[in-house]
Amino acid sequence: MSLTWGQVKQWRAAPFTTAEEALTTSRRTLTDRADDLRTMAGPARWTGSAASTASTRLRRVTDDLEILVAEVSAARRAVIEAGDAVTGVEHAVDAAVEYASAHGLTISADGTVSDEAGLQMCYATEHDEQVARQERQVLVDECVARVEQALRKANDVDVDLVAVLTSVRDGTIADGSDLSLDEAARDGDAAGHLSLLGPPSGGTPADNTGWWESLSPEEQQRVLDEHPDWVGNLDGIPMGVRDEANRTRLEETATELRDRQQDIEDELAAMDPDPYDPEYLALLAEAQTIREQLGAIGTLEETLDKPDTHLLVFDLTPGQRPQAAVSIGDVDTADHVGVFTPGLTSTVEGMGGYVNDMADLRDATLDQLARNGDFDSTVATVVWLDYQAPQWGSTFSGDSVALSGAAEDGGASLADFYRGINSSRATDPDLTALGHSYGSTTTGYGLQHEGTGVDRAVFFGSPGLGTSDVDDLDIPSGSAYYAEAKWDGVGDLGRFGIDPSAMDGINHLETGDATVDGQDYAGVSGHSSYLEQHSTSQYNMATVVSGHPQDAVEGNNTGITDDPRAWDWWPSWLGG
Amino acid sequence: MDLREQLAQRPTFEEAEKGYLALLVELRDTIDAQAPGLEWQADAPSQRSRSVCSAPFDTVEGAENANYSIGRGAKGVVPDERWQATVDAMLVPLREQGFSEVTVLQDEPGAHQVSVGDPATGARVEFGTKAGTILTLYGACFLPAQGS
Amino acid sequence: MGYEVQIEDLRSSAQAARDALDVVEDTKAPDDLRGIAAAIPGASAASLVETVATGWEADVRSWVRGARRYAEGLESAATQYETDDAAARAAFTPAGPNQPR
Repeated sequence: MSLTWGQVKQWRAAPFTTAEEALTTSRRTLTDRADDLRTMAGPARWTGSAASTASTRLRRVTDDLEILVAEVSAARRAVIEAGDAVTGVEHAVDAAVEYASAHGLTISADGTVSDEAGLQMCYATEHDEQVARQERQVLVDECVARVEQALRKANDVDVDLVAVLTSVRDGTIADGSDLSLDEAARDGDAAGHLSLLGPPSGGTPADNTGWWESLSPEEQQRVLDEHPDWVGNLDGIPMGVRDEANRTRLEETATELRDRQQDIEDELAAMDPDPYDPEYLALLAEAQTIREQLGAIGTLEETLDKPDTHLLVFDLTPGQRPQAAVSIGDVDTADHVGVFTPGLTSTVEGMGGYVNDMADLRDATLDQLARNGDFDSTVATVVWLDYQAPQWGSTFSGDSVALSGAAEDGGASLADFYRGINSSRATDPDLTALGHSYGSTTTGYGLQHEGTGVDRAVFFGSPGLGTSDVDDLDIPSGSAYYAEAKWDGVGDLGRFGIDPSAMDGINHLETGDATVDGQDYAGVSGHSSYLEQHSTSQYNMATVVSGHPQDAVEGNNTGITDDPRAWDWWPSWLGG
Repeated sequence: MDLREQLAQRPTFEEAEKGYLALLVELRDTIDAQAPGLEWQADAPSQRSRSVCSAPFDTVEGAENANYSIGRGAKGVVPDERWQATVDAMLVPLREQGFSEVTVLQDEPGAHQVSVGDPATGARVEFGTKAGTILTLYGACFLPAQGS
Repeated sequence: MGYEVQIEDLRSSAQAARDALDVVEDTKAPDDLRGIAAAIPGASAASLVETVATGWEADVRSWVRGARRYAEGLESAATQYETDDAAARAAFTPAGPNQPR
């Protein structure tokens, strides 16, 4: 029978602590009978039928006491761990109740969440009302997820506890074959462990948050120690936890790969180089993959050595290029968060420059806050490369369908990353999505998912947002910004929806050409120079991320019709 | 000349940092002389953030990049009528240090920001005022001194 | 005669069994465990707790009976050996020169 919210709300961990202490005392009293059992053995050379009856009885008495000790030990262990787990249940229940009350929601005894408050104001446009309605729905969904995870945890505790108690009831904890009461106590203890509940399979970020909140601090530490792979890349888990888990994973993986690389080198050195030998070729291929992975690891190690950096995603899934996300600043607590998605040809090995760009954007955003009189708000920026950005010559076969597939898939992951930022925090940050080049297409697809909690979006150098209608983006009206530099070939491709330069309802940002002294100082030109220091683009992005977009320099650098073949990054095989 | 050699021609990270911090002190004193009454959020400039370098130097192992400010800037504003004179006065020490490229990012009544860049290294100083005043130096890429 | 030591052994073993059963009989383990049932309303484990606790009580009673029977067996043997020297001689094989104890 499944547990109800009304029941689980009444669960208490404190009686488990009392029971644990009492059972500890009771068990000690029983194991202390070991001395009695030794004395009970009688004279060594006692023989005859009375002696043999006594011996049989003593063996029986000894075995039975061992079994009782083992059972009490198993139950005690189960009570300790269940008590800990119930602490998690209590925590999850409190979190759900607090969440509901903070957002004007109610949870009924059967666990149904209803939105009593509803929409509180009138909205200028239908789009804005729809966005607001979806935001309310996200709140309801997040609350439902918390209720479900609290119940899931309670059921898990129950199932585990039932398993141990059933073994006790059925007498299968011990068979009396132990050599001493102490050994029986140890064996019973080992039989009383409860399982550690893993994250929900295929859960939403809110489900994952609910799961994490349903763990006691001890259980959370156990996850970090024993299963860092459960949480490192899991959206909805606090970023500080992900960072800790991923640094562990990074270190372990680096050691493994470096060892393996050495082994391969030794093996290759001992072989005749034979291009027809499949074993030789397989080793060469593996060496190449490991080189690529270690390249990514090297960049991450150097990046993470710097202050205020956090590893939010670390993914070396075989058969794909390494993926990662790094934040500068604390995403768990920052008032303003900017998530930057890079585009074509981006790799983790080459992401160091982006990390510095985002470190600069963070400082520039702090500047804009201070310039607006806010010296207290905090900022975090993220380089998110948790998707397969197309690479020239390999994945970029010129097939736009395949290309948009990667952006669509990436967009779905990115939407979950945004959602995870919001669901893992008590209060949502002011969240800006930033996408460059193909990363803006990915961002565009991401923002077509509902309930990302993104407040503003900046696209630059975009081959399209995966839509031709800005209202398809699930962000408030007027909060999409577009910056395109002159000479931007990718930006003029218009492959994935119309060129954002021509999109209605999008704000245009200047990318350069603001001059004094008669010189063209800050204009950036070409597709890859948007983020260079000293650019108007970065100032503009900082005004948007800080929530002061009215300070941005507006403009629209369109109409440049340079021959694409003049661009040095344009691959010759694309023709012309 | 490869990228590491290019960086080797520059001062070390530590030398550059010393120069940047001294420049910020000089700029602050210049600003205070032109527009008195700002409440700087720290007594002295310091490193605000440190990172790996941007392209093309992102591939150079050990190369570092840092930004500097005086706290988060200053409470109070530079009045409109003192703005241009303040910027002009700042440009004297700035140009001496190679910061010669001026970009006006905002110049409206009550809201100003300029960026002054060093074209040789890509470093820049951001100076702006609106409801508060900011003075931040975005440093260039350097190699730390040997053994540090 | 000459079996006083062994007989005394029997009696102290019996006493140890009685000491143990007094303690085990008083064990609070079943009630200790019962304490958690009310803390998890609705849980299947809550009702199982009662089953296990009741089972332990039965186990304890049965163990106490077994220990008492054991003690009684030793005591009646000791009494018999005190009055029946031949039985004592038959019951206690003499120690060999190299055997311990």
